[in-house]
Amino acid sequence: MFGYVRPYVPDMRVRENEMYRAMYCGLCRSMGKCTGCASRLTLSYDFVFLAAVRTALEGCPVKLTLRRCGVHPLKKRPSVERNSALSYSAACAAVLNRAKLLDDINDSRGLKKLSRRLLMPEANHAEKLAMRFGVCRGGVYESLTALSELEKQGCPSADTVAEVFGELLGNVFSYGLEGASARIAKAVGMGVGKFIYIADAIEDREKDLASGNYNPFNLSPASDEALSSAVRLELGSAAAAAELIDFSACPEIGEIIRNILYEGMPKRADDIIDKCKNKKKGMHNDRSL
Amino acid sequence: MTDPYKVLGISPNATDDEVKKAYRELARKYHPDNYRDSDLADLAGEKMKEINEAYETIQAQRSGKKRGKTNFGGGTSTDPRFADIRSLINQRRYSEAEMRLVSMSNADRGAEWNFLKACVLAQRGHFFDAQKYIETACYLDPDNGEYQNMRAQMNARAGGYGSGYNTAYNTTNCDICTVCQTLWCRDCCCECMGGDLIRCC
Repeated sequence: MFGYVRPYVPDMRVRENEMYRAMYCGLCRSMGKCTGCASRLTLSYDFVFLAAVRTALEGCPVKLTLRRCGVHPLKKRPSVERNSALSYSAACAAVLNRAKLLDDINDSRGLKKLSRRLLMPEANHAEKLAMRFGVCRGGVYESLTALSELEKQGCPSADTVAEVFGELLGNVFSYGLEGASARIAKAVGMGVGKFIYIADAIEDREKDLASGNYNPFNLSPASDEALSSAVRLELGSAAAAAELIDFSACPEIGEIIRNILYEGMPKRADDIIDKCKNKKKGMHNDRSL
Repeated sequence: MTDPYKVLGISPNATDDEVKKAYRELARKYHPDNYRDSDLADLAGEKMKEINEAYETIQAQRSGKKRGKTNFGGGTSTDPRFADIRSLINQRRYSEAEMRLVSMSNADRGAEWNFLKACVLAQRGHFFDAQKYIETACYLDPDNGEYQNMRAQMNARAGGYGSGYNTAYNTTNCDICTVCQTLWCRDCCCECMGGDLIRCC
């Protein structure tokens, strides 16, 4: 479920890319500070997007400083100083990573299951630390329960299931905000969440078919064109909402968010759809040989 | 009220076409059709209103400016000495006008004198000096619309140059990021030439 929310770097301006990397670096540092050093290993691009949206909506100060770190010991790099949005994103990362780990343990068997089990104490610890920063852990697990309930029932509608996940992310994005900001954040999270669920389902289609796990697109198949346009519609609603954010304090962040929503994510979806198509073609060829 | 140019995300030196383009783009972005299924329609409506107001303000400002633009120095003067010079300028007899201006004593060199001097200099292409005189004129008589118009137009001309590369973004803000980049670039240049600006990298 992670790694779908990325910018399309070739289309970024240098200063936007630099700001993005500084945010990435700042988030990693915040994770170290807020949820323990080990949690930094779970750093992913998705939470940089969350941090960017929250920074803009909360009006957090964006202060860049040059810092050195263990991963890049040779050169100091610009990094965004920790602000409430970064702390919040780090905390959310801990909660969602633990949820993902639990999900993996339930879904897998054998060695993989054992290895995930071994990570649990660390994830628990990170989540405990994360609770200091006001995250809606309850809401996350509630949504996840609803999600697994629907999956167990074998819900044939991808939209219905995706909506539950969208709801989850909508809550994560908007938690603690008020008024217009909360509504915008909710809509952005909703669109992005639905996108992530659908993209993940597309990518796992073949795998789930083989293993017999639930996948909405195996129950009610959709053409590649339909998938591509559905994904774009979800992103369109997220982007329309994100356009309502006031980026005047830091225009680079606005451009980063636009790049991710208009370029990065649709490209990622197309890649996934293409990959599946090629795989299918490959299998077909094998058989004909 | 907020700066209408900021609302449209353009610089005050943007041409009329650029203003129109920025407005169209934003209007398309926040068009009610895009928010038909969304519960954020009211917020988009507010934004749309803001954009419309900004566009109207700019249009109003610019049409006013254009009316005042026609030949500098062509306005009427209450002072008979300056009226002569103005008529010389209107007849494009700039050197004569300048001679008359130069011959005037320091005591007479008020706002209008500075303004007319700027007009003459600008016609000759001496923009540096013209700018100096028009600034003085504006300083001496800040309420005069004629002087303000000329200054604004000169600034716009200066800003419009190189607009091919001007993007809609604010390029003047200098944050730590810019500082770092500049330092890094300088360091690279120094290193190319065998020196070093920042020793650690």
